[in-house]
Amino acid sequence: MFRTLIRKFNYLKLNSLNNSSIKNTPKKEEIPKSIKEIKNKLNQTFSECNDFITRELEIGEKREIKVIIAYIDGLVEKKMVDTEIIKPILIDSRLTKLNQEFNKKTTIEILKENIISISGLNEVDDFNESIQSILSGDTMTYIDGNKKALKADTRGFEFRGVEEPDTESVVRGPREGYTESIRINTALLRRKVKNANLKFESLKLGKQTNTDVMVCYIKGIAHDDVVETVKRRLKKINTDAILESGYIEEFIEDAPLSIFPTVGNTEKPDITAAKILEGRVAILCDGTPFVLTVPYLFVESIQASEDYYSRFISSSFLRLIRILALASSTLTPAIYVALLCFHQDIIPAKLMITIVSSREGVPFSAFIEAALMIIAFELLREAGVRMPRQIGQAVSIVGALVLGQSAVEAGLISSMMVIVIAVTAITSFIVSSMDRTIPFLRFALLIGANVIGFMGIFLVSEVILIYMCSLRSFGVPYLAPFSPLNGMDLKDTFIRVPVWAMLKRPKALTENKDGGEQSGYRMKVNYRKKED
Amino acid sequence: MKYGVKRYLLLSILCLFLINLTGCWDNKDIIELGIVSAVGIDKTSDDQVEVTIQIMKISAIKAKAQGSSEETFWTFSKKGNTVFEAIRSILTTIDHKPFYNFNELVVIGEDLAKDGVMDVLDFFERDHENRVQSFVLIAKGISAKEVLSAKTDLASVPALHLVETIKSSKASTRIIEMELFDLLKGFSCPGKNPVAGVIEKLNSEDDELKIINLSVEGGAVFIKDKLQGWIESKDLVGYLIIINEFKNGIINIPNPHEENKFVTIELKKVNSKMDIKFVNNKPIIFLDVKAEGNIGEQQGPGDLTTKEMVKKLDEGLEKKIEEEVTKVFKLAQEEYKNDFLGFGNIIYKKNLRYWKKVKDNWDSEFSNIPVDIKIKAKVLQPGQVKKALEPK
Repeated sequence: MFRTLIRKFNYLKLNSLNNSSIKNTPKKEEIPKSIKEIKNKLNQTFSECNDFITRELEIGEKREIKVIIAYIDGLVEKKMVDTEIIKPILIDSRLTKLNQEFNKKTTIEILKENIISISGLNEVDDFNESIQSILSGDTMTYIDGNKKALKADTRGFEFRGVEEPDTESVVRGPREGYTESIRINTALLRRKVKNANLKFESLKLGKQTNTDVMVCYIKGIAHDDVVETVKRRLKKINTDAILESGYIEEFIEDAPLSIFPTVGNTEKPDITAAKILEGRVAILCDGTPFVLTVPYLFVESIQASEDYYSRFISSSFLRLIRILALASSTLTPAIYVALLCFHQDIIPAKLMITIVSSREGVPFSAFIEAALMIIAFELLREAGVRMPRQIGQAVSIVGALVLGQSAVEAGLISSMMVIVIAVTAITSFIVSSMDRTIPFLRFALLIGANVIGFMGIFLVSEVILIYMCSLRSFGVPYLAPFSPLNGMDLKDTFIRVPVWAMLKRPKALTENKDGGEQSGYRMKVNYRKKED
Repeated sequence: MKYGVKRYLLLSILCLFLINLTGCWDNKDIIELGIVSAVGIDKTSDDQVEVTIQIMKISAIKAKAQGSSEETFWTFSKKGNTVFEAIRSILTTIDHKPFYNFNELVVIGEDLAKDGVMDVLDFFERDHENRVQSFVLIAKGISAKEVLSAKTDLASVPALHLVETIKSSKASTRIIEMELFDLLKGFSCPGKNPVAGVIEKLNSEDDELKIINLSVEGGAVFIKDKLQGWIESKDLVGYLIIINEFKNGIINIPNPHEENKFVTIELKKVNSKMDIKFVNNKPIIFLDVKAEGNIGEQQGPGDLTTKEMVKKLDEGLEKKIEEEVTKVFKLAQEEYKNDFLGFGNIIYKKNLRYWKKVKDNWDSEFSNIPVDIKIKAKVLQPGQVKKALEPK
């Protein structure tokens, strides 16, 4: 059915790949020798850029060599530029006794080694690269008569501090969350995993935005194929803008038309750390606190970071509760409709009386009633997310009183249906990572139930299961370790065994030392004993 | 591409076949159904069958819980040559589709029962909409229609009142819990005649018949599928002990200290084993009863916890149980000449050759078989006091 669509989609992807390989490689351009040319070129590039600032200075005792300092106001820490670059050039260069004479050739060496007191200092010989650095918040120092320039890391701009994220609050566990600055995010992650094998590979994405993106993994744990796949897919991205990691997610996910997410995201460094320690790859994107992790499997939707921070008995219980919530959130309306319309005979007599008396006088069929209530709930929920905080109270009053109580009192909706939808609503919040998927499943099952009762529910759930089995996330079967079944990996699914009993890393994710492709599913299935 | 289309077509056709596999395929909303709580069947004077159904009035049930006095049920009666015909003609009267899956009770009139019930029960066994787990009661001295129209103040619906009565009065050992399925099984079981529950009218001066004027007690003895006679409710203790259905009940024995006063023993555990043994190719009935109980009440003074007294109590209990059991054997062998206890079935299982010889006149054969009863009874605990308080 979707095959043609998918094929077309792949074709489009291929197209964009071809284009990107032509357009995205920036041409190398030499830095002009003469300071005048440099100045002209800079002014030309940054014409009408109010925040671009250049400063021409003379260096040395004889003041014969000119340099240009260029940066973007707001992106740099001004104090640093003033005291560590401009002041040494203007004053220290004249006072310090040097072995060498200043001339066009030696200046860059002297500046580098003796004068500029900034740790992040690099030589650049490509004009385009220097422009790019300026745009990222570096300060460039161009020297008259030299084809090389100096790039000083003076980045310092306003950003939100490290706060507790609203989306993933915990009772026990670290409260820090990512910020919009990628450098802080990498630092947060590095603080969790103090290991040189933790790699951050940087690349820039987006033709217009030039967003910094980093691929993060632990060398030796992450599967090489996955790392390679991630990098390959990222390099293929050809788009104007990457404003959030969601843009990247859509480009690299395995099943772009699926309702199931095959790329995970989180706002917390401890979760990311745990995931990359299991062999996953994280993708950090500048400008957003949401970090992607791949491969993303179905089990991850019922796992929470707190499972590992609290004792295993209670967290195993919570796992089961979450599975129950997932089932009840998708199935409850369908089962209720199937019971009411097809299988009245299996309802206990007393419950039957309660249900019938609550439904008496309701003008809609059970299916219409359920569909209306589900849509009403989705509307309320969307309103709750979008509206300004101040009018939240008004919406909740209208939602609870008008939709709930009045609809029942007026006899439009039965009170049983309100309870059923309330149960599905509450339980859908428990498995929050699936909450964009569940409404579709819920509706599909509801329609199945309305057509042929329980048989329809079974039929639809079977189709969903088969479909889930067919999904892959970066080569790993989406339903692993249930399908294909891996007994050892079940240790962290329905229950969480004690941490001291988790001896091996997840089989589906960890690296095979031999490398190479294996038939069947692409992930290598080698055990790696945890080093003590 | 062509191959793909073909495959999807095939798959969807297969899915269509699946729809045929479902049992109930019609989408019928629960509020379009009239929930039948009881069915009554009578014989009319012109030899037709009269079917009465009691339908729950759900809104009234809810209102009743909040104190309304509105009637909570409707009853409809229709006549026909067969049960199905009568039930179908009910459809012309009511707007809801009668829904029999919650039918808890089937009441059969005495006249109809005497003529044989298989002709009417076939419909209940055959039709998929009926359930065979409903209780069966034989209306004694009253028509089934009257039973179903009796009103109740206690439960939401009269039928539920009766059903709850049957379920809760197990401990009184005066009721027989017989489901339709067991009754049908009893009819088909070789060497055994079933005993069904009975509902009868108590004497009362009220004009309007109410459920409290009805009493569910005693048993109705069938021979083949015809009603033969009744077992009094006080004789049911013996019957239940013999067929090992005595779960929990009380028995009165004389106080060893004072003959005309009683001690009530609450039997906690009664196990009986019916058996037939052949001596010289003649069958002998063996009944082995083991009973354990506690003292529930004591009339008259005296300490019953001494070794001697306990032994006397045990003996008294054994004697009493034997009395009860013998009474039932007498009823079966001498009065009714009807093996409703099911010893024929034991012969059928143990000695098929002998059974084939006697099965045609088993009931008369049965009444001549000697009975050997062995009873072992024990009184275990005196309750919270050691001996009865003696007023000074």
